[in-house]
Amino acid sequence: MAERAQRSLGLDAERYAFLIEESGVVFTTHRPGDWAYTSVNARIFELTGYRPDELMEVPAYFFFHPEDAEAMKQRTMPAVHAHGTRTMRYRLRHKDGSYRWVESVHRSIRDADSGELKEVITVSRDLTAQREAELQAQRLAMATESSADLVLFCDQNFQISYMNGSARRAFSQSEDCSPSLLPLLASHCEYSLRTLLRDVEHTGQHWQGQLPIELADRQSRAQPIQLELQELQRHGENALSGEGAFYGLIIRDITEQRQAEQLERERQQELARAARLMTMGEMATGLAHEINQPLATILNYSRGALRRLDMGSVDSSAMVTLLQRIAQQAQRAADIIKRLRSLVKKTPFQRAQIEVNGLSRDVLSFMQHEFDAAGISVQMSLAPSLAIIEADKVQVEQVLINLLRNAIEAYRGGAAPPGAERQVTLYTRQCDDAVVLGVEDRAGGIAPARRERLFEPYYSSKSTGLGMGLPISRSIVEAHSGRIDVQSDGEYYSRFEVVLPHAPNVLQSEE
Amino acid sequence: MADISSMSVFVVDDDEAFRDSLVWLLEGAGYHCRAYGTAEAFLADYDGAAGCLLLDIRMPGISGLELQRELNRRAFALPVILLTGHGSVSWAVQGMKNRAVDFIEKPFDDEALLALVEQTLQLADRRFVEARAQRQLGERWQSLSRRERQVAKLAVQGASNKEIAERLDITIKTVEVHRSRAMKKMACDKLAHLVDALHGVQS
Repeated sequence: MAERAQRSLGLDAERYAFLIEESGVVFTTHRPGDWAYTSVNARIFELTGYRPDELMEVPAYFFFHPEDAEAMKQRTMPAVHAHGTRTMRYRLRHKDGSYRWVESVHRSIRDADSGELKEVITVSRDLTAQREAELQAQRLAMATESSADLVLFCDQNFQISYMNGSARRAFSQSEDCSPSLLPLLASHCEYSLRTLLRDVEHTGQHWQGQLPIELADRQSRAQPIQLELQELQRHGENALSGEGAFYGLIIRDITEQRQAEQLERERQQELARAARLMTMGEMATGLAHEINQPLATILNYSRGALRRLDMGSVDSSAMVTLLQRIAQQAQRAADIIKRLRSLVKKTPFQRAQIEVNGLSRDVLSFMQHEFDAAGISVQMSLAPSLAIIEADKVQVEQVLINLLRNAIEAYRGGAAPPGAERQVTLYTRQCDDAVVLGVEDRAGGIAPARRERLFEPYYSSKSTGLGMGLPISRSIVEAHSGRIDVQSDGEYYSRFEVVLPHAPNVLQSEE
Repeated sequence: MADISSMSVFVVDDDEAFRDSLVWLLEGAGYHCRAYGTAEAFLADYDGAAGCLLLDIRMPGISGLELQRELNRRAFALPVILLTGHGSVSWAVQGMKNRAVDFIEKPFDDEALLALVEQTLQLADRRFVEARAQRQLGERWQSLSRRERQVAKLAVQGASNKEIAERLDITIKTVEVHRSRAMKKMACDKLAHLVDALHGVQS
């Protein structure tokens, strides 16, 4: 019997040792009193970085975080002594100096007969990963809560279960309130939201887009806000917690963005207008010169006629011809005024069908005097057949005026090679699906380093001028889905080409 | 004095309507006009006839100012009135430096223009007479031999025949012969006249 009992005990001890070594948990025993390690399994190395033999006879609280060691001594150890088992979460110092979150279950073993406390058995597991996940979730929740976007969770009936701070502020809701979403929104939002939700439920897909959302009390607000639903995601049922599916909505307050866009548009138009006015002053000279011609002509005809009438040396048929000529000249003056007015008018962006050759001639007729005054000859080389483009006429004229004026300025810089012809060429060209409008000067070219900076605002090689001509021109051209190309050999010529895509399949031939 | 009514008023302006109206005005006042659309056309046609030129300062191709310089280079006596547009003061200044008679801004008063044309034609009359004299003087000077010119130049500087003979290393007798021939060829009977004539040639 004794032998059998002995063998049975040996078997238990073997099984016991196997379980201890092979289980995933850290298994330690401690001496009551100083809580010193009396035995440990191999798993201890993963948790602490120490080999089992390094820990023997070392008090366990030596490895505790100082804050936790105090609590251990004050509460856990007495409790274990008194009640037998205790679970505790604490930080244990690894050999590398870092702390790990650990959960330990302590159980005291007493002598069956005397009741004397013999040892404490502890089973521990590493909580670091779990703790990290919890912290991560906390951080995520904080980020969500403080996000500028409106974040809310609701069920398929739009009953809200969570709103972040931005959402509560936008919907004017207090923190503990969880209303239904639909009454907070303008009635017309319901249909689109329900449709969207059904789609997401159906496909199980994450929706991203831009759906305008309007608040129910939009009218009564001092500062109306503009909202846009950007994401809708379905989160599936949780079988464990018994929760049904819920939906996460991310809504963005686009009020400021829209205002900024509006401001930017207005600024662009204002800039273009400022540039027009700037050239207006200079153009007044051109106008005066141009309009002088018909006026002087009318004056000559009429004074000459009076003189002849005085002398009786004119017949009525000659007078008819004369009056017709006078009328023609008055019409010519009126046309000049009309053209100038169209250049100055404060007009919003207007797309119209434009014939670029005609536009080029018009602009050049205004600018001719500036070229004459600078002693520069202008050549026009217009493509015989050019597509019609869709663009804002005034703005394109503005761009061309800028480029022509820059060409004149280029000759003032004195960079022109000696003996170079003072000549500017205005040309048009058909290029696949775009019309090219180009200005070439031979005033010495542009060095590569300067070429890169040409379109920077306030970058100017001139002593006068704002340096805004090219930046404005470029933004105008880009607003027309076009571009401005600059070519130069750096010592002889410069070429600025405005490339404007045209309205498809419309060709017009030059008369 | 030549007859003013026989002179022409030349008009060069690229604006056809304006050119036509100006001719209409001038012809109405009894002037004979010849009008051109470009400086090139005028230069090709102009033969030095007496008159005056109404010249548009701003034109494509050869500008008014360039035409003026060309006329000066060819030493034409034709007086020029510049027609300027608004705001071309700096041009007008340049034009006046190029020896324009005057400039008039478009649009102009017919009385002012006609008065200016009349004055200018009178000036032209004097100029063309002077120019003829000048040309004659030039031709005479050209007819002198090298030696005769040397002697004449030294004589008007105040050198005596003896000094001239020493300077040119010739005999006094020879100097006297050259001097007398030079006086005759230049149509001068006094040394003072020769001084004036040579002054005219050199200018």
